[in-house]
Amino acid sequence: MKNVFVTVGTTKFELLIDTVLSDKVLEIFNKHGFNKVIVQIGNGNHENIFPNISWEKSSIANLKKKNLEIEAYRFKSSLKEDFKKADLVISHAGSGSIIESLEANKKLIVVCNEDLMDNHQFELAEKMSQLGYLLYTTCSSLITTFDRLKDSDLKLKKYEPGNPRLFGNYLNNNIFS
Amino acid sequence: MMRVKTAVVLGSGGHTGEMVKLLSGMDLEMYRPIEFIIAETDKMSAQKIEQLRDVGKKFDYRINLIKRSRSVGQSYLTSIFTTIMAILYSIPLIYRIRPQLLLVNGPGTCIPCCIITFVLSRILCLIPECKIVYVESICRVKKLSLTGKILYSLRLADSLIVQWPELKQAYPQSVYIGQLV
Repeated sequence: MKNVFVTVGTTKFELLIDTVLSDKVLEIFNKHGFNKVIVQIGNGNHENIFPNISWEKSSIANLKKKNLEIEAYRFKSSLKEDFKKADLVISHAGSGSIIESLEANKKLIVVCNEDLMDNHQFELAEKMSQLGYLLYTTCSSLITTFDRLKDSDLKLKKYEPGNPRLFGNYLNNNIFS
Repeated sequence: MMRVKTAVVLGSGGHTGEMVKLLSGMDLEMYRPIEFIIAETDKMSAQKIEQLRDVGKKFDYRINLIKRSRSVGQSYLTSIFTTIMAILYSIPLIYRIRPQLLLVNGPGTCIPCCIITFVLSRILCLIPECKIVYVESICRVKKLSLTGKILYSLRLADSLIVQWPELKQAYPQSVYIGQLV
């Protein structure tokens, strides 16, 4: 079972969810052998696609489209499991989502929400993209970015996580030595 | 073993996540007890703190609630008023805690605590010396956050730590030791 996990974090990103669940994109997922798309939709209004999804944390909606299983929910206390079973992650530019995905060693496409242009979040996505850890794009360029991911010449670098011990050592050696 | 009484200001969402990671890199046998200072409106932070509890080891902490100085999206004008209220609330709290280390990483809630700690400890000498350490979020690559800028320009922190070399270049007085979270 090959999964795509789409996450929008604690707020909403309706354009991303609509794009990811559009016929065109679902066909591409199909073409590349994905079976299931899990979408974490946050506060977004997607009544046209998921009329039955409630605001309760545990509420999950399921449907089948273009031969793919689609599972949707708003929030979970931990997304760890969904990150773990994903073969591809498509995420908003939140740092928590980015770092959690990279630490799980997942192929990651970060999508910039152009309606939030003032948001400082992009600095991190942009930087991580420059460092070669992920691909960074917009909803309108998602399809071409997806193709880039399949390009055999593209090598995403292995993520080197941050090290909090450096902080502990700094305190011990420089502040309270 | 030397013990350092530590106060940690927690803010919403991402800030708490980063602070929990920073704490996980510290020797919690040395930096204890930890007095967490949390905004009343924050429901999630207390849960995240529990993640630090190592099986078998004693995790010595306490939670203190404080009024929030500025909510996300709140107008700057009303923020001045709520910040003053937060400062007044912080005074008895910091005075009672008497931390030797104040750890902050960004939410607006932390500025009143920093100001009060600095005034009580360095200016009025009403509490023993307290080091103030600020860690800027990993999200900040090119520019400091508003909190970071305020603390940097007022020189309130003993160490203002940034997580990207670009920021160290832009703010020479800051400390860069690598990516921490």
